[in-house]
Amino acid sequence: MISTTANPIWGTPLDLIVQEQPVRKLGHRGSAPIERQLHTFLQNQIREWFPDLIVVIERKGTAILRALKEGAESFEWPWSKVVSSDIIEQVSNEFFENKRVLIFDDTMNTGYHLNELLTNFSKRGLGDKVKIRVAVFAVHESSFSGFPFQGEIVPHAWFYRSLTTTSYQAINAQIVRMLQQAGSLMLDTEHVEVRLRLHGSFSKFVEALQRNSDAIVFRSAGGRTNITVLYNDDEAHSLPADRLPSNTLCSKIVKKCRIVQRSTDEFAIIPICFPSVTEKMEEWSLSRSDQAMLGSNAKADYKTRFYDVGLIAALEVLRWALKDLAIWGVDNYTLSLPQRLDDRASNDGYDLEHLRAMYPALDIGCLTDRIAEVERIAASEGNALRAYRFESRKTPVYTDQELRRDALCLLSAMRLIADQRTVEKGVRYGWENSNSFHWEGLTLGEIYGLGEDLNWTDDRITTLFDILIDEATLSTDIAPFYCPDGVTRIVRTFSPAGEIVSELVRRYTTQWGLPHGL
Amino acid sequence: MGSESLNSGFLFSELREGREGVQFERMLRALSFVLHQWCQFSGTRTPLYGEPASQSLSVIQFDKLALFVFRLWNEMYHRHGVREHTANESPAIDSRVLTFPSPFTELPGKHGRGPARFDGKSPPIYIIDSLYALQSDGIFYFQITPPADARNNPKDHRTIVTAGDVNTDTNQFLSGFNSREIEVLREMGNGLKHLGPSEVRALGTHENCQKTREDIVKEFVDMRPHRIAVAERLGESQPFFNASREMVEYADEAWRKSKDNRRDYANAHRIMLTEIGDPDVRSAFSGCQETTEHIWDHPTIRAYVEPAENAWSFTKCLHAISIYQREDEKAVASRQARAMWKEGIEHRRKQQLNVPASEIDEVFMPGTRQIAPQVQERLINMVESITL
Repeated sequence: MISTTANPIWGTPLDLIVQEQPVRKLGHRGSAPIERQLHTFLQNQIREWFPDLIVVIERKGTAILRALKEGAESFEWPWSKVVSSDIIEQVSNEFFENKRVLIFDDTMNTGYHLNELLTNFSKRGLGDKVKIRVAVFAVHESSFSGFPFQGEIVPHAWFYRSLTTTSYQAINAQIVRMLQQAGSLMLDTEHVEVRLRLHGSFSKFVEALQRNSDAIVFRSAGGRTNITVLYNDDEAHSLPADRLPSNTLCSKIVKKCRIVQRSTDEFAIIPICFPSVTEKMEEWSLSRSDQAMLGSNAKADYKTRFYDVGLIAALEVLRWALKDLAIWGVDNYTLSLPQRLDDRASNDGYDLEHLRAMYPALDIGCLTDRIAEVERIAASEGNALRAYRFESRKTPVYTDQELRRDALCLLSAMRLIADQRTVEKGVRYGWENSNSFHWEGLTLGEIYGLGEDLNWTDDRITTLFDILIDEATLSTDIAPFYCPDGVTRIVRTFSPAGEIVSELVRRYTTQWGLPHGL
Repeated sequence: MGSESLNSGFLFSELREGREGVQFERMLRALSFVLHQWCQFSGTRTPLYGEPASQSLSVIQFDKLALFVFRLWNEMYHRHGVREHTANESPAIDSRVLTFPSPFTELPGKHGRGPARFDGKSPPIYIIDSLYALQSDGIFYFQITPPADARNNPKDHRTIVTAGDVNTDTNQFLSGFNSREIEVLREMGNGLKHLGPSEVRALGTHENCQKTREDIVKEFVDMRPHRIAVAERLGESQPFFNASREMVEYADEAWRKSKDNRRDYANAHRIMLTEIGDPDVRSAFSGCQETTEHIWDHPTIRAYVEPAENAWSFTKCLHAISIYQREDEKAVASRQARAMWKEGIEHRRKQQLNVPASEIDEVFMPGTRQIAPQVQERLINMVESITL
């Protein structure tokens, strides 16, 4: 028998190292909770510089802002003055002109995303029409000197600087933990949400959701119970093609509902759906109500279309979930719908104002009314079916340990495929332009294909996505994809999140091997 | 639902400091041990292209040997390894299991996959580069000898590789490996030493039908820009030596993978199954190396044979023309061109494929190196037909 401590092959667990508190370059240790540090940093930036607008760099930017706004210490900044970096190209020049724009990034390693954003401002001729300040909470030592932008070195402000990789990872981990404890906020910054207080049993709740779909339960970081409900490509879960642009693909897409525990018996229902729209602008006969909700630029470009179509489709997914619950019986839970900002009494209820960061043209009031309408329809449909008996699907049950191991395997597999593609391009086209072909994500269809090699079902894979997204180890994006029918569509893509995570994933693969079957 | 929560930072908690280095060192030692057994073998094995038995491998054959050794090792690791085990859970591990996977990743190279390391920032480092760097630092697990005119290029196809001199006492050499790992390495070495160089190469190159199919397709895809370049140069009556040389390489690989490797692979597969005595290793071998029939009798692979043969024989003719056409062409090159032309034409006749001209001299206008217009048009059409 070999002792793991005696055998050098096992090494020393790495987590002991990254749990260290990072040290501020200025000499004092950051002993306050990370939430407080972020709050102080951002509040100071606002107090000192008086921005008109905050541009938050995703993937964590909006989530941090939301966590701060909903945290113990109130952070006063209206969502109408926040823009997500994800949709910067979709916002008109007029919106930015003559404004003082504070760009906020939580961490900066290579500065790639920041550079990309600033280049976008320059290319649009906004350089001298907008006053920009870049504030980064934690800067890695590799970006110690920052980079020049319009004659100045950015970032202009930071809370931590010259962080070693270990300290940088520790800050990242603390931010992720803060977001997880705030309620999986990584997830619900771009999705609608409805809250529910459960009176009936949890297992019956899950069974209700499994009436016509697969639902997997897991416990995420911070001990929150999660349910991932996957809606298959069947007749009961088909999307309304007449309300979507022509040639939109509605199969092999993200079509699910996440149920995330907020407190002991309170859950957030978060429907997520992203049909693949064509890259070429196809005809889209928007109904008057959809037009009113989505705002004036709904047809503007493929990225706006993608997210707008996603919002319409998510409302449909919400209806399926609420209908299944209504069949179970409305006396088992109490639904709490989002309210219009004007209707909210001081601290009661909640609103969807945070969606303004991703959907600047969206009429939030209109969306709030639509959600109420969806709930009425679902309740009515559900009540009509209450008299029937339904056999719930028997979705396999996985332990958290199994899911955690599989999530890492999936991440390894995705990193390998992305690396193989990068190397293939390097071999074919030369390594001189290699920067331009990094970070290519995988489509859902490709990942489901991987799942077939690994003997994993689609519902299992989609649950693994949720685990990885909550851990901030998986990034989502959108990209053009040449479909088998010869049409290029805009699809959701997934990839390991950033350089640091990728490096850890490669190390994990080296140490523990690739999943069997690849 | 399990009771344990998915704690944050779960990626960190699985990682170990100071582990990869040990894995790399052991895996290279394992490879050196297997190669040593191959090099020391004095029995008979299939010679390469009728050449006398050799005690060394070319760099390409070595690369494929490494690919195969790591593949079988990983298969054993998955079946009888500690992957399910985390070091936090138990203080002891059964010495009857493999304790680590190969730290190398299979990454694409010019003509197929090879074991390499990739950090996402710089080009991948293939195994031969790593080993040559070690050798330059005085670490001689392997002896890598590049050709005299390319001393610093271990990737040159003429480079030869043998096992290093350190491999004298097996027990000492494999110190740190557990008894099961040593048994597995012995089984691998015992099987592999009976294979000829081309059989080693075939076994490393192929593992299943799907990857073979992808590899053949890749050769044709990668050939495409050179095919287009040749067609353009032909249309402009310009020489096309570089592009046709690339086409020959890709076509040759496509032909080997779709047809020619079959015999070597079949021999290798049969020998390995005969020579591996350990039932677990034999079963792992069958699990990671499909049978010859599974690979080459698949309708898709069968359908690739004809286009691959067409590409192989035609590119021979094409490149022969480009050599012959060169202004600085010497007598040696001319002989080489004629031999290559003959090989291509004879194959095409045998396969009842159309030929660009009966003799290479007929390709050109009399007394010149200019391709005759009617042949030029025929060649362009034939170049464009080189697809799957």
